[in-house]
Amino acid sequence: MKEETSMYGWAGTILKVYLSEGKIVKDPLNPEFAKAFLGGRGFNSKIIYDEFDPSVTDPFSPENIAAIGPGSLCGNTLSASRICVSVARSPITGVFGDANLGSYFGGELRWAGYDSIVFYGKSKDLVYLRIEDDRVELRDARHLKGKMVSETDAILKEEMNDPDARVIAIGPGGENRVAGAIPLELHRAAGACGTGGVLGSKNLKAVVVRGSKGSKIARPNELKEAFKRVHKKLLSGPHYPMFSQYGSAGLLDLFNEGGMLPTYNWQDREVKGVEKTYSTALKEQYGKKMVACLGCAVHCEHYYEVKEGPYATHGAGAEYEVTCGFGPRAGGVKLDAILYINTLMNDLGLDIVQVSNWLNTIRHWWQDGLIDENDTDGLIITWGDYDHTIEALKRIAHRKGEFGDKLADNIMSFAHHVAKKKGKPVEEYIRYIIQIKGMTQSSGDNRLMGVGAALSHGTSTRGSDHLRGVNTDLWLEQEKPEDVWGIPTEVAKHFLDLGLSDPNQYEGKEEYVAFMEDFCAVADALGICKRHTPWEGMAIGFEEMAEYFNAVTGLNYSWQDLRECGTRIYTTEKAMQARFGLRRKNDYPPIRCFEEPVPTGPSKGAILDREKYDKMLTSYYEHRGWSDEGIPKDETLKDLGLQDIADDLKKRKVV
Amino acid sequence: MDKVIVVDPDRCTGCKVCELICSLHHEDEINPMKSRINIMSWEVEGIDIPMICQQCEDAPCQTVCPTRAIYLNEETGALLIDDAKCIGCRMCLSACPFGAPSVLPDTKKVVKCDLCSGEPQCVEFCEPRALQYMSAAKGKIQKQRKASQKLGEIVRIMSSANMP
Repeated sequence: MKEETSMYGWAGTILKVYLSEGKIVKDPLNPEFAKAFLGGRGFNSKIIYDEFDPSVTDPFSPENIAAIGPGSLCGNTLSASRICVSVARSPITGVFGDANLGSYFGGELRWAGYDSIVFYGKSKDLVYLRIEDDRVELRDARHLKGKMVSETDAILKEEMNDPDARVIAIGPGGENRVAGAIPLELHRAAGACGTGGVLGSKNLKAVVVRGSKGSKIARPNELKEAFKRVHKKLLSGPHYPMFSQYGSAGLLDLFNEGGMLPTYNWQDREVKGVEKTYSTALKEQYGKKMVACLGCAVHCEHYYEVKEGPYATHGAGAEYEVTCGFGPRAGGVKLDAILYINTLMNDLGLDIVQVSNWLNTIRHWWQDGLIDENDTDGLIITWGDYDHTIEALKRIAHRKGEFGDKLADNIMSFAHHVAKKKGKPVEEYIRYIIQIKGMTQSSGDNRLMGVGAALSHGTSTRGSDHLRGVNTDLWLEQEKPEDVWGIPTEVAKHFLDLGLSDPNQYEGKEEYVAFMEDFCAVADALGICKRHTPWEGMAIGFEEMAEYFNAVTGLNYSWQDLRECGTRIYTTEKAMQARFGLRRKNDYPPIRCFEEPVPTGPSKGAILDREKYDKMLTSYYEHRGWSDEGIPKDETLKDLGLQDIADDLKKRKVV
Repeated sequence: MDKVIVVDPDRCTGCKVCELICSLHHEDEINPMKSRINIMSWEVEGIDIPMICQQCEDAPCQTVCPTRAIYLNEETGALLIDDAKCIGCRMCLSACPFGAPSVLPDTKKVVKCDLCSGEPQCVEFCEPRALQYMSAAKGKIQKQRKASQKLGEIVRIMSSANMP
């Protein structure tokens, strides 16, 4: 019946692209599936669970599956611009992985009439996917081979005869299957898990979309009212001024003052002889204006210009990760060189977090005499170096020379390669790497952001990550529950009653972590940017997301209903990782966080307590209804409506 | 009513909140193709320009309309379209130097900015204040003040250096 199947918000169609056959199928979206998994990351994760054969181990096999899933509120509300790019096997972790980018593409895909795109197989020649409302086709992309992301973007918009078409593309990094390669929409990067190499291995260069159908809203007056209220709330948040004027690069100064800024590959807290106010310097010297993603009033990215000198450049999106990863963590802060690197890496299609960590690990080994120029084709990669670093980036993207080629496969295997050359045990090299499940870490230090953040990093279903759950326990450091932004008051009260406002309290923290993990899963499924949410101490929480979701779809979800979808999504991913062989031992922060106390500054001596972490992890698994090895139990899966996953795990003897 | 929408492209972040709000407000859907305001962006160069209806004093759209469907709302100063009279010929779009009239794909008739009866929603939601609703005179002074700031800096430097 038409009334039952006609949905608001969701476009109603998933594009399935079979690259080996060159065939495209428009798959009608099952309403029950949509209501259970919401969209974006939720759709991707369940589709991959159901359709990927876990006996396939090579991330570059044509059997790998990649999905581009805009959140279901993209093209429907403000604050929703995020797309989740998921792969069954990540070249970095070897298991399930995904990445998230802010975009204009997400809305455009919705307005063209599609909810997500799934890619199977491998095209014989390099192709791109062209979507213009009902017309969807694969086209020859051999003329785009080797082209940078920005060149590809310009050429495809020209071919579309429309400068307002939107493009997601890989650069040379993805084409060359660099483990740390990613897809981008210009400077908006899907960082983490190296999904770019998977797309490259499928011979898929880009996707271009233009949509004119728009999206009908079920209860438009309700949405208008919701926008007014939520928009005002968002703008009045205490952290709004910093993020809207300085972006996440504003965190450099904030962390520095609190003694939380990691330097020299997480060894220390100070960069010697360097000017301290980085965030202001960046904005004043090179910032032209702030730019945004679709529908976003936080506009947290600088558009920057370095007008002259050897690092002359322009671009956008110079965030905390690049300014720290190629700044204090690399032992120097040459702002113009950092901006040059930002533009270069976005163009090459390389993951700034991953590759900066690879190079910083090498700098650290160099400091301790574990590596030298014989292992790096003559490049001197030491603290504060920029010029050899820039050359290294190009060699990694193009797999040029033995160093470029070996490092391109990820720092973990490169560690094996160097250890073997030097005749040393590989453990001596591996312990330097700040990684979990093979993926190196971003943002904050697990010793300093709160033990909940440490647990979130450890249990993140895609490898070390600050975006999966708790970013920092410090957002809970409030006197009153009403002052905890973005969390329903009764929940905030419960957390404060448990004493969770102490960032270093381990007992009970699992409840906050599970709550935020479910929250982030919903945010990623709806496409809401987490910078607008309690993940970043901002206003848009479960209740606000429910307001938007209900007004758009015409449904009546309570925030608890939304949360349950988040639990379902997260548990599906955990089951998938268990199916790939991940267990309790994979859910721990890096060794150094348990063994090296912070040496200097206001947080001197901070360290993770292994015994307490063990107990907290056990409590977390219990709270989740998982086994002591982190495998979702039968009853837990059944309660979430995941009987099919319960049966599958039993069949495969994953219990 | 003397107010106009004053545009400052330097402040525009390219977010298109205005387009989403406009289409929702007028058409009950989210669709930039039905928005009366549109942002023209050159992302690689960091340029974003809001394009609006200028509510011209001597409006080409009004002059060219064969059915005289376009008329002035004295209260807001906005030029409105009488939908009953509109025949969907799109001559207004041809005549307009700014591309302001929007053609609705369902009806094939034309709609345009009506300043939301004096409470323009795009302005209400523009946090960067690239869009402001004020008298043209005030808009002029604001622009002069902005342009004079660089000169003001030089004057301050010279006076602090005790130059004559």
